[in-house]
Amino acid sequence: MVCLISGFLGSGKTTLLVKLGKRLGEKKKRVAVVVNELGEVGVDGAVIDAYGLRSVELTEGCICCSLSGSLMYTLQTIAKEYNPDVIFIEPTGVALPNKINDIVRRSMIHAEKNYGMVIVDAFRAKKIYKECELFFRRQIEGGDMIVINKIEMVDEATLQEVRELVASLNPKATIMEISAKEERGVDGIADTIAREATL
Amino acid sequence: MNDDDSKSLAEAGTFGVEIAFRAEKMRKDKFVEELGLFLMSIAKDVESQKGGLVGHVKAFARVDDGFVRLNIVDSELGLDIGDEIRSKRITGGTIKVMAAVVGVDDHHVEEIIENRIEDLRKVMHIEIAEHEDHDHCHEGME
Repeated sequence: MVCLISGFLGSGKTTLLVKLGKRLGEKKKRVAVVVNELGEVGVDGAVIDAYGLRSVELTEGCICCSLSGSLMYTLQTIAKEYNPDVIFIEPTGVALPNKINDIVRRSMIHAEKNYGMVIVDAFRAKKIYKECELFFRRQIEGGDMIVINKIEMVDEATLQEVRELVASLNPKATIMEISAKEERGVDGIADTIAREATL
Repeated sequence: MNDDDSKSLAEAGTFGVEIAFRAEKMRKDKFVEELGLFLMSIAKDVESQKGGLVGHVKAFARVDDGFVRLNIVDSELGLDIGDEIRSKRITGGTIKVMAAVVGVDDHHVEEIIENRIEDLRKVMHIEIAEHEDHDHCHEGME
């Protein structure tokens, strides 16, 4: 199974990925991570490795455009050499999920499932939507699940506005609400992924 | 809309660099504090150029006995710190720092970070461990 964890810059993708990876490891799932950074030096791969996960870092470009060939090759290599139950892909914060989903499909790794979640920062969602409306919209539209993160930082009224915003942009997606930092709601997502990886 | 380059589509600028550092048995708390000030100063420089930070500035430091990660998405919110350093004193290690922000081009992000690294040199000995010298076209770059 390939699980894409996308979301805007600073939405909490790496924090969530580390916690999901740990939980799936406890459930005896083999987990591999492909992490992508725009610059020549990445931080996320180092963080993921430091927390004990196995990652491949692709830098100096975006896997949804300039590094699409590298992503295909990396997925093929991981599938062949490691045979994981779940491959997490953490793209850059400016990647478009639909484009990555196409690349995963074309990589011919025969992943039975291709699951896309988009992380939304509850505290900054309205600001990002205002500053980068088209881009934010395209990211939300590309998710099977929208994960509203950092709920510990907003009141109920703001959270409701964010719920309504993402639901209006992608009515078909499942919406989950979590605090990755405080580990609230993370078990539910891990259970969903473990179940999907088993089916 | 050009989908071929999502970074351009988002109008994002990025820069990342790895630095090696040595310190004279600096207290761990002091080290984390200095790293936090370093990141905060980068975030504030971006905010002063753009009028706000849309994106993030983050760092990961590997030291003698553990690591610390720091992240900032809004200077008013402060830093998110994951401190896994076990030793009380720091003598050296490596720091990866990167910023990805909307509305500031690559060159200006690089300039901001490099200027702030100069400030960091006042409290620790620093060597740039990893940064390829790109063929920048700084004049009139947009």
